[in-house]
Amino acid sequence: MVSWDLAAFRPKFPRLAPTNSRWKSPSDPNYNCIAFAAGVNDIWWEPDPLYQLFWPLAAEREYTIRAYLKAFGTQGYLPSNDGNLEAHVHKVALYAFGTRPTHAARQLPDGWWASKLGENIDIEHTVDALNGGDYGDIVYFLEKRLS
Amino acid sequence: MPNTNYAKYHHARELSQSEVIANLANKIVFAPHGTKPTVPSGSVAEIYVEPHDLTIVEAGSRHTFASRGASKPCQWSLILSGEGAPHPLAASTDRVVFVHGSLTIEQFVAPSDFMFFDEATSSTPPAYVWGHSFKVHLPLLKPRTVERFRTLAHTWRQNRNSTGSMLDMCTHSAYQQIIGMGQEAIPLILRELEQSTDPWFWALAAITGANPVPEEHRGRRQLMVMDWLDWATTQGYRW
Repeated sequence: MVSWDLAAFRPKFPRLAPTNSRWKSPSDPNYNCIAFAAGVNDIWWEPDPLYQLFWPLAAEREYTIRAYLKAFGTQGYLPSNDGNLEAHVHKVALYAFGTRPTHAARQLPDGWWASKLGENIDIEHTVDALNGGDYGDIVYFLEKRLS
Repeated sequence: MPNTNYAKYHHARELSQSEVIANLANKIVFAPHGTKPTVPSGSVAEIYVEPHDLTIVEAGSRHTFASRGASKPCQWSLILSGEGAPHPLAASTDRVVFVHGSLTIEQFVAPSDFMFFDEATSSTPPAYVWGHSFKVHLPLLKPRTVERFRTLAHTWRQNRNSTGSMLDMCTHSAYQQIIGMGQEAIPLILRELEQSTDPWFWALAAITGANPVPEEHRGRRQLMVMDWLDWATTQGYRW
């Protein structure tokens, strides 16, 4: 397992610990957490007002929870009751600080979650490891049922 | 003569000496002494010099700066003199760029004759070129502009909030101050854009009001970089 400077991230995410998180892949500025959670690894998804970044046309170009839900909706995700692991169901956790969406993580087959930390690294973590930090808290779980 | 005006302005782009020569060679026609070659109407001569060595001096004075990285050490001089002034360095062994006329910070338009002496390609007396109505672009940046930009960019890189939102990164106060520098920051931003993957798109869009990124390129950084650099080139920016 690759060692990573977890201490460097703890000021932003005070709950991060070696027992609830692990390094997954190196930093890559070409995509962000929202794209990553939606399964995209080469595009930055964000509803920026200067129209430089990708945002699904079907979603409002604004930093609101509603717009982010619509963006994930374009990928087949609908609100879910919880983040429990279910067979044949892909789940995403949407984080917000107040009313502003900040982050998204996608569930892994073992029940942990995968997150891209901004332009930085990808990590895997337990469902609550990023709560209470710069990302605020999980405000929605989304799911996509596989046929 | 001693020069007290060093490093007053920087050129916007750092070029090697070979590139400098190549630029000059591409733009200026050499001719034997005493002849005047025909210069196509609208010809543009661009003089690029290394930024740390360029000094704009008072008309009639001289500044000599050493070239760097050259296989054959030599010196360049940028000489500004009044219309019709004698050629005090015509016999010099220095490479000499000799410009008659006036100079503004951003652009020099020679009102009459433009002369270029190149010791390496000349006999004695040196070959020279007469050009009429040459435009000599000197996209220059004031050192304090460069320094301020570098300081702000460094501050931004060190402190930007990399939590997954470009909005957070680009609303950092240092980034906003760079936007506030306006047009004079653009060559420096373009240079950054060429050399890094940092998100300078917002600053360019905010300053210029342009958006050359087509819908299918949005969010794809490498394509966005090319879009912005192509746009800057077509808009005549030098960096």
